[in-house]
Amino acid sequence: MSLMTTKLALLTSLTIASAVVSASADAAPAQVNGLIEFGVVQSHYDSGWLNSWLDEGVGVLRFSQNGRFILSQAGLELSQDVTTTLSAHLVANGYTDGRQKLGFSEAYLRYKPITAGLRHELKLGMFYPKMSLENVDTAWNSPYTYSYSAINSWLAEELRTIGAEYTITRSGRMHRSPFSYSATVAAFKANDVLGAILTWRGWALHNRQSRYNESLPFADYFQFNQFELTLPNTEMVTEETDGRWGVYAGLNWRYLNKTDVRVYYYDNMANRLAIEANNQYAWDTHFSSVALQHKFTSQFRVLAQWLSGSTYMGRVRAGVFADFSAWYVMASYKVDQHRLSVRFDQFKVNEKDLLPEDPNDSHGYSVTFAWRYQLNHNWNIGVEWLGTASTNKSRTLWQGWQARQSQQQALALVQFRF
Amino acid sequence: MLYLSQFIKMLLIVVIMLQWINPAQAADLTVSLSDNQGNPLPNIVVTLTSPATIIEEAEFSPQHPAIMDQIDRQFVPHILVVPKGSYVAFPNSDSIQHHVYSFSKAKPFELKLYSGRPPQPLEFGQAGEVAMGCNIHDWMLGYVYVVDTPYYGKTNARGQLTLTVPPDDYQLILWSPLLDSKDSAVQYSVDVAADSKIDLSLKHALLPAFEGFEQSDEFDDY
Repeated sequence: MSLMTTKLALLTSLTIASAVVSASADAAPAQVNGLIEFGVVQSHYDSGWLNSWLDEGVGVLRFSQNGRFILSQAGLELSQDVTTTLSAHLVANGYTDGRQKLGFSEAYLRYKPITAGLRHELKLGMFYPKMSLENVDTAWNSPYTYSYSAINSWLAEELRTIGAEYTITRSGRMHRSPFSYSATVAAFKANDVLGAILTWRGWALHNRQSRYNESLPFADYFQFNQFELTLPNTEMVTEETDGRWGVYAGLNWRYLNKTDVRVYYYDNMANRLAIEANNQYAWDTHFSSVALQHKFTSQFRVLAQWLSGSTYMGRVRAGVFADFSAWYVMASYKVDQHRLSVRFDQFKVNEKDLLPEDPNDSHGYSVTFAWRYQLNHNWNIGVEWLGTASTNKSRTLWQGWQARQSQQQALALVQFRF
Repeated sequence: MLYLSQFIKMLLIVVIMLQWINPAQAADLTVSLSDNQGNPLPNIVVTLTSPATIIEEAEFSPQHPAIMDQIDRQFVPHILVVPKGSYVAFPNSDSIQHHVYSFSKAKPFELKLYSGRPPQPLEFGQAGEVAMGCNIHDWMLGYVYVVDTPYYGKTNARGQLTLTVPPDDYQLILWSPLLDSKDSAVQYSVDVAADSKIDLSLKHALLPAFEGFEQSDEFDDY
């Protein structure tokens, strides 16, 4: 990890810690929200090698177990006002799979002064860009399905920036207009490996978020010696490899509280020749994202997102270059305490490099059905069925393995929220 | 006949004393308000003032304040009318925090509302419109309208309001954030001598209310 990232992380955590400590009993109370999600998973695959990438398999679903009790996740959000306009935020996530059980997915300071005309907001630290409309629930979860769309599964596992973000907003209600607008710009460090797991494994569907300094494992695609260097079959998502700044910018348009459109452009501006001591490369990755939500009624809404970009790693004749894109459309209907959601995802990665020994083409689709029922303020239950078919050429590196595979997963989960 | 004249004198004295004890008899003024299309207009503030009008005691004390609540990320009521000098509480019935503020001249303030920790009521000591927003939920909008008279109210669903006032010559003013400024600037002269009725209609269309902002859910602030 570079010195810059270390300093940024240290600064953020120290500021948050001092903010929390300085809050005395009569000052602003800390706001605590959280959830624990557990239940049973049925995920029957034809072959053991279609296990989760977390178990070094080449499948695209998170759970390798069949008929087993799982602790899907634990999420905790902690907010503390330092002043009335400056607040500190921490989001911790716990999982039983992967190599790191506990960690922070977000840690930031937010400054939002009160202004009469245009509104301003400044964030400093590690946080998600607000480019998606699916993951709007506690600890960046989806209130609709348990497994996120392919796009947001990717953002959850591989996009994690440390930097500063500024947003300016013109609130429609305050200006006697049905339209509200926001513009966001950000500069960040870290996230130089973005694109690696997407290119090698392909798109996946899950709800597992990577945390600060987490080492994310995947199948060993490099045991066949197709690269000059021995690459690690893990990646440190929050690593700053090249010392360069990345940027993203977004526009948000909202009609009343009915229609929301978010357009983002993201570029980590990485030096694709930069390399860590363990041979983890920096991946020069940029993409555009358009997210949409429309509430037809208070009960029925449609969400959609499209994301498309490119990634480059290494030298022209020996590196990995690929284009990637994905989209989803979801319809969700809420009646009383029931919420029914159905989502269709389509996704692909197109290889652009000159290295046939390392095949990166992949494409697929998935269908997800979810029913969720709110028992009371603290408890909700639900079931989800997800079917996906993916054709990933990288699977053919192993003798006798087929590129095209279909996988199904059924989840019956209970959420305790506080 | 002496007795009869004495009795009449006594009766006159009693009547005069009663007059002295209750010098001004109250009269009911019923206002019927319609928009520029002739439709009944609800939820419009009506105030009556005369040079003799005084607020003897604020209606809402710190112990018994008026309530401007926060329910489902909206101000409830959308418009609260209080006489000058009243106290208003912001209880926050949501399980999340709000950050209420106003830049209005009559009462600039900011108030952080944590769930389950209601702050002290605020005094609204100056007459005028106080438009409020929330620094966390940009679409929230509410009004405290501070009036300089004890004679005020909002029109009901049929566009009507009855005010019981002492007989006097009054200035009647309409107010709502949705009124065209030309309609809210009109001062109607109303002579209330006995129970009476008055029909008023707006000259201009109401401004759009954008009620779609009220249809928020718990995910809109993401």
